[in-house]
Amino acid sequence: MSATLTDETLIQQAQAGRQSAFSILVKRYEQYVYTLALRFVKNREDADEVAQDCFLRMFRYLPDFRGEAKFSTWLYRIVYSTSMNFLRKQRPEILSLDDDERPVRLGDHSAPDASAGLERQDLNASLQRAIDQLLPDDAGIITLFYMYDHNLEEICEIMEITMSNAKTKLCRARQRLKLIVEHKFADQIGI
Amino acid sequence: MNDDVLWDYADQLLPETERLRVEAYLEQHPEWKERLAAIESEKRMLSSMPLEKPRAGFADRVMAAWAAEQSHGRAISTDRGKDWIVWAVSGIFGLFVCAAVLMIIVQGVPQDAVNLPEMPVVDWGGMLRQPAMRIGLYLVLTLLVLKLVEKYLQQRRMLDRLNMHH
Repeated sequence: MSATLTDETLIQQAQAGRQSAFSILVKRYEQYVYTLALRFVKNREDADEVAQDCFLRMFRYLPDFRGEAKFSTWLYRIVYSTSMNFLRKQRPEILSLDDDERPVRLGDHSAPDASAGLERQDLNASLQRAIDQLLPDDAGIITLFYMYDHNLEEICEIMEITMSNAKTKLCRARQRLKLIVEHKFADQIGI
Repeated sequence: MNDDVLWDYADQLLPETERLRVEAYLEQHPEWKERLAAIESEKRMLSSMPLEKPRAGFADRVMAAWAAEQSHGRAISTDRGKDWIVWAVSGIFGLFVCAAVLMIIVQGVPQDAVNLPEMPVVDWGGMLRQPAMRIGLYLVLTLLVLKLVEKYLQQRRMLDRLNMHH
């Protein structure tokens, strides 16, 4: 039953105060919100906390949602800003999340060792690990564009950047991902 | 030709003229066509990556946190309602006290007040026409309004802090 309800219907019901509509929205988007938060904060516990915070913000601001943007775009914008606020508070060493000159950290020992049994893992897991090593913005834009199928206009809205900036970020994110994959996971992914 | 152009082509980010130029180039260079096929395959791999799952009971935790936040908000709202009543009653009481004090100041305490058997006749119209009385009333009303505004802002700040905390 809940699967047949559109986002618009659920939003209207939630705006009218129906708790069940809130609950359905959470269940419908929990994995998307959690995955995106995880791409930014890189830690499952933190991502859980951030995702929960995102939904609470969503509930608070839902009465103001007028449907001018797609609901998912609006929600992912909340995820982006909540994650960035979290990172600024928790990890001040990430001075700039928009640092296009920051090199790819191929020698990052916090990441799992590529030689440690990766052969047994499937392609998705390898690619997942490669994405985990990207900077938050890079991992976010890759996820939004390729996994969530959002176009660049929507990404500009979510990440509050210009179109040319979005294109540059996407291009650099692809290049960095390619570098990581080529150096660490080429055997698994077959590149 | 390079990988970035091919990726942009695959992602449909190229303008029309450039897209046509790439297509013409690919027709003449099968090795780049193969590379495009590889890029399409990488794209499919990215788009087919599974979503991550949060810890079990995530939705229930969110709904519980939301319910807690709402009940807390209601409690604050109820308190605020009570505050308005308290302040209104206090204001009226304050007005009476001020009026009485002003009356005493303006009219003075009768020397034989103890022996007076009758209540003094109060000329309310005359009193309100007196500048001291009018200024006093304006002062009290202004203070009351300022106090109410301060209380309102204080509670707004508290709500904002709670929102930030959550």
